[in-house]
Amino acid sequence: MTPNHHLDDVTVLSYSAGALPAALAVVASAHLERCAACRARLLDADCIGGVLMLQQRVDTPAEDARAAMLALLDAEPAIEPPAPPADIVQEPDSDRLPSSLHPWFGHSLRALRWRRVAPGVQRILASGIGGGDLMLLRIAPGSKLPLHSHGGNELTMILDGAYDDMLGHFGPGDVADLDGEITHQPVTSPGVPCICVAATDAPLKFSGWVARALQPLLGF
Amino acid sequence: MLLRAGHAVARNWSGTSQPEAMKAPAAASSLDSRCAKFVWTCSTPIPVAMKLPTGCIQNPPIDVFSAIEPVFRRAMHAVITGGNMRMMGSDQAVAEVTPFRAKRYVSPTPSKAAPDALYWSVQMTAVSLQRDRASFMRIYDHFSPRLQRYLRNLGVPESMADELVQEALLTLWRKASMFNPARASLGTWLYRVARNLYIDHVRRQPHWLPIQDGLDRLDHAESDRRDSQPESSFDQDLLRQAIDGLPPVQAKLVRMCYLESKSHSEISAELEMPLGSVKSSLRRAFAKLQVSMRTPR
Repeated sequence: MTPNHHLDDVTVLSYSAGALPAALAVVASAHLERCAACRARLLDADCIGGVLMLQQRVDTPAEDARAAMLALLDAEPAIEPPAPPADIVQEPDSDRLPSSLHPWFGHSLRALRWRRVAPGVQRILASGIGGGDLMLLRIAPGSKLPLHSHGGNELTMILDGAYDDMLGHFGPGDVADLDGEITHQPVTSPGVPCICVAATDAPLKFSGWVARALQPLLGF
Repeated sequence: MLLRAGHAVARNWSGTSQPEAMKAPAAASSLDSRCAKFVWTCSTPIPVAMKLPTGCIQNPPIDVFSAIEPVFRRAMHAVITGGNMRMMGSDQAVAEVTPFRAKRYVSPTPSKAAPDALYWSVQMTAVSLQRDRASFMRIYDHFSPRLQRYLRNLGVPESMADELVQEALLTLWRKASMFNPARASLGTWLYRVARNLYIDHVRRQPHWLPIQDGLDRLDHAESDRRDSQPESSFDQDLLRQAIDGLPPVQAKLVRMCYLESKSHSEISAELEMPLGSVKSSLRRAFAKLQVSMRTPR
């Protein structure tokens, strides 16, 4: 399914520059795996990086460095090794998580072991990622989340189910690329739970006092 | 009329002494010659017949290269894409051409001209198909100092930067067959390799490389069927000009992003600029640069 909501241009730029915090980069990678349009924009951004890299003033390589490089070539096998098998499948499998999530959550959506953090909300937190928080969320169908904005940047990608908010309808593969200027209140679609992967580089800001009071307990 | 041609005048693109460069395969040498812009005395037909506009040879001196360039580009494109292998790497082809003799210098500018995407594509083809070390060392001589400077700017210590540059070039040697000139220039390809090594080794994100390999393979598989803008179809000079023409603030933000690998939040804090302003300026800069990439040659 072709996504309808994409990465912000500046997120693509930051990803290309290697400047996106680690947790956000995991979600961006997951979307890029599913979205040819965003991969095309990433190529544009990489072109800019390539030109900037080549514009720098440089000296000629030293002779000893050239000799060292040639010595490394001597040590290489004569025959080019075959490319490893692709681990990204072309045909979508509804149970298979995107590749960038495998190190943190495994391969299978159905095999996930959820932990309940609030009525209708389950979560799996990735540990040790550094550079922000990364989590999977499973929200019961027809649920309305508290109104909130974001202290920093948040990337959320839908893996299954859907939700609606002021920005539109978000289904599988869609990504919500949000920052502190957006206040929203997602409402999950009826039928199946909404499962998404979310990354933040700062805590959320809830508008209501109940949600604010529960925030330390929920860990958002 | 049949074009007559032969070995190119040996030419060093970087202006430095490069013994390896003298061992170029026939096709690469022929390509080297095209920026030298000599009027040549020709003696032997090359294997590929190419029609020239009337008057090219009859009324010298003229800039032969300008006249044949469109034809030459098509021929080289066929070589790169595998449609015509006769000019590349064939000993038979080498045997059938004889050396050019420079007759008269025409243009004062080509000696400063930088090698273009087509030149590097030919070098990569020689590396991929022939495991040609001379072509590899031309790539090394041009790109390794730029990769080194890029990594040093990111704060990578010198010894580690040296190691990463070597690893980037070894990656090129090993994965040369993955390079697709229709999708990205060699500069872009090597930029990706260096950035990925930086994130893997310096930022210590061990899962980054396999993820990028997966995305690369996805692009590789799609490149033949995707209806998108291949990089080789736009003029990189226009992108360079667009980068140079960015307003000072946008230019600074773009450079901080790419050449210092700073996040938007870090840029915002360092410049004491609202995060929203950082993002909107970068958005405008990206849009302008994309326009330059969509401008036809």
